Amino acid sequence: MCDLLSREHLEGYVVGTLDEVDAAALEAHVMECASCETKLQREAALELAFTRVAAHVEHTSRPTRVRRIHVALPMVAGAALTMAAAFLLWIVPHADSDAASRAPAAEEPAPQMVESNADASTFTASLDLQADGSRLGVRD
Amino acid sequence: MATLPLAIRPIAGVPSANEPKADLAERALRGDQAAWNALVSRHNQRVVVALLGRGLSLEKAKDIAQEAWMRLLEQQRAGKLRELKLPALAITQATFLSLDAARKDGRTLALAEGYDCADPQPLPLSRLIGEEQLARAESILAKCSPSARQVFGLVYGGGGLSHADVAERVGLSVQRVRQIVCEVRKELREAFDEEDRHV
Repeated sequence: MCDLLSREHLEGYVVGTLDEVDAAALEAHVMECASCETKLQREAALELAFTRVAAHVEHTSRPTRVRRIHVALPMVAGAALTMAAAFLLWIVPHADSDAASRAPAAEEPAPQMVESNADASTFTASLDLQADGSRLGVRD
Repeated sequence: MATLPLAIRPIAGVPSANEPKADLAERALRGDQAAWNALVSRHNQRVVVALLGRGLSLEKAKDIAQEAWMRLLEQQRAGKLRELKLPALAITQATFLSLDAARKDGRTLALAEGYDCADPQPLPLSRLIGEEQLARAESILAKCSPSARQVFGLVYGGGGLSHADVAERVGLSVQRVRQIVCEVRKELREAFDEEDRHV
């Protein structure tokens, strides 16, 4: 086993940090020394393995971004439903007051007004938005 | 084996080698010989190392790397080259050529994820890196500093960035980038060597 080339030399060659003169000297030796050529191939294989590792790490870090989207979607949906509920809460009393102002109280049957209010209160009570926005449930 | 015309032989220290990569690639795509020189000078070493890592001898690796550059230049001249992502394109070209050469020589290659062994004496690390090794490497990287992880990702990612490119991007000196690469490399190598001893 030849020990002429140190691991640092071989590593420097594959990583590309050896200067031109040292790299040429290393190549000249490796061309004639099977043992050092095998060591150089091993260093180069390690370099390829690192490329694979980098690709793997990049790949496994991607789902994090996807998970963020998954978390964000219920938040957006929750916000939209909250706005819709707020809109309904706002419009129902206004609709009631409009109707009340337009029609004489005697002609408009009171039970219908009570029924509308009952619907609205039922709807608002059914919203179940959690604080972290990660889940939105609707109860009957 | 055909050799590159003198004009596009890899020449270290070509002034234009420091030009921005995108500019060089664009000029090379337009047929600029000096741009080709600079690109070969900048990336040839990585192509040779990629072939060495697949078990080729240094002599064969250098020959095939030259042939790969020749093919790319021919494709550019024939108007078949629309983009020039280096060194990835040159490495792919060289890998195909090495497989072709091995087939002609009657050697059997086990090509999986780019890890084939053209050498009759397989090297432990030239086999396909397994899931366990990947997981171990991932846990080692997780213990590294964020800047070390970033440097590792940029150096070994598919961008083909030089240490100088990486240094500029992360705001560190080239010397520091090289130091980080060596440190992370050492950690990972020890982990892989440990597993090789158990295989």
